[in-house]
Amino acid sequence: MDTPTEADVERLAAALGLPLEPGSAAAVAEHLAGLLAYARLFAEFPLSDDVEPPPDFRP
Amino acid sequence: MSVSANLSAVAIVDAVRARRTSAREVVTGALERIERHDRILNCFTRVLSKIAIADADRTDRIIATGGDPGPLAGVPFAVKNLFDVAGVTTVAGSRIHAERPPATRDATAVAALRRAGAVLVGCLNMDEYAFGFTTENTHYGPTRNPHDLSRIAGGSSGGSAAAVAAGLVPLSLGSDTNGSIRVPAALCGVFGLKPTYGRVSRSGVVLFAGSLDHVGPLARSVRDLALAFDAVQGPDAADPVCANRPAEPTAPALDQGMASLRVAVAGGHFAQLAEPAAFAAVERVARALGASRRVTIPEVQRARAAASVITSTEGAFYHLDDLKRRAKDFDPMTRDRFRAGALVPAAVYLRAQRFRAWFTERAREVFRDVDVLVAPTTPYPAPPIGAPRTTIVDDVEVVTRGHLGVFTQPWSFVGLPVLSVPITGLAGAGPLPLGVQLIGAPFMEVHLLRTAARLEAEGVVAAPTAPERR
Repeated sequence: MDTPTEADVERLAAALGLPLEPGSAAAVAEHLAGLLAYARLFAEFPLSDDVEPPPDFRP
Repeated sequence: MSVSANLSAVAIVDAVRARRTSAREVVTGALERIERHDRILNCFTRVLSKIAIADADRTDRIIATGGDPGPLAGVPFAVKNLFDVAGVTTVAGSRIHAERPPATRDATAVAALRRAGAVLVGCLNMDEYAFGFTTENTHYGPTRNPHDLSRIAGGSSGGSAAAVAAGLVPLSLGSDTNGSIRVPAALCGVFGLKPTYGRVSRSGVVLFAGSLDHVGPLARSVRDLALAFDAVQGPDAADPVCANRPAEPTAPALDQGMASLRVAVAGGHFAQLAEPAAFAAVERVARALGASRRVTIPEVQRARAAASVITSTEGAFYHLDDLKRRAKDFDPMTRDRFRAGALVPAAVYLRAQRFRAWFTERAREVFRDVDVLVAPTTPYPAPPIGAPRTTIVDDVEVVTRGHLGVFTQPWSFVGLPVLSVPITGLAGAGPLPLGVQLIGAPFMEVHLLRTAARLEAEGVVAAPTAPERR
């Protein structure tokens, strides 16, 4: 799902039980595409296996 | 004495304690200014006149009977409308929360300021659920920048910054997830402190993205900011992420100067994609501090990306039930962004949190031999209200509103304390202020406040007086 389509958004929203009024999937898809583009930026960055998500974040 | 718009909190406390004026006179003056100016500025969503007068009278009675009215005696303040105030509905910039019953108690930070003698006069406008950098709120209208009414105040704590900049109150509280104290502080020309994550309790605050949310004060002087920060900092069992660490008062340290502090300027990501005025502001501060060393932090773009994903995902989590049941009641500025956040796969969110752990270590490394890092707050001065979706900076098309957080987002991502200091008189910015971030090691807010005090004493930074409106 590199660039989510309106159909992708409608399927994901249905799986979550999130109703979308007619015509709104396009805008949601645009925002989701932006977030997934961000995700590619950090997902492609190699992290060693011992880097854990902080269970209780502290700076 | 006359109670002018630009009287500092410190001056108010001195005058009230010495009975040169009364808390009632000070608070009445603030309420009159709000009445006169806020119809245009639109900082306040609720003014608490009766409560404020009653609180002011209580302070005056304490003084009259020889009691201690507290370190902020008689100082009017206001809070972003996501802070609980007993007896008032916490709207969080939304129509949905406006239907909820009034809060039964004050948020911890609000209660702390009141205990210190400050007088709450009202609640302030913001982006819906804090999801924005502009305070162009569809339900409550945009907050206007006191330095140019056609421009945004910034956000999401736009009301908090504009009310202080316009002299309606000397102090306010805001919240900051990706820059929401620092961006409006910079665009309105006031001091804004985003403390270390966990330094100030968020109990009684409507969260936006809990693993990134901070609360902090805004003011027109460094000493006022320190007094407010000292009143609200410290442990609170009611906030699960609040640090179990005693308060460390900063106001007594402001006169210590800079002698032992090591200052560097952030390069790389923080030296591109901004208008020249933003970099000129940084240079002015760096020159005043004698900072010639440049520090580059790796992978800041990825950090910003991860912060955006975490924000959207956590934000959507909080509002998922309302998104399912009554999406039409959301602000169109936030609704589809929240929905998109709800659709982000869990694996992506967790990867963002893993990257955050890695980046936190890189940020820590910088502060092993640096005490204060200097960077721009925003890449440009306040854009017009209703600005086009994109703008060109350095020949690159950027999203006008989102790009306002390009320099703030990486620091809240790792929870470091940051103080935005105001600067004016920059070529290319006209009368509009800009901000410079002073970034420190965890829990070292005192370094930032000492540095800001030095800059303020030398006249390098100051909160500009907003034009008087009639």
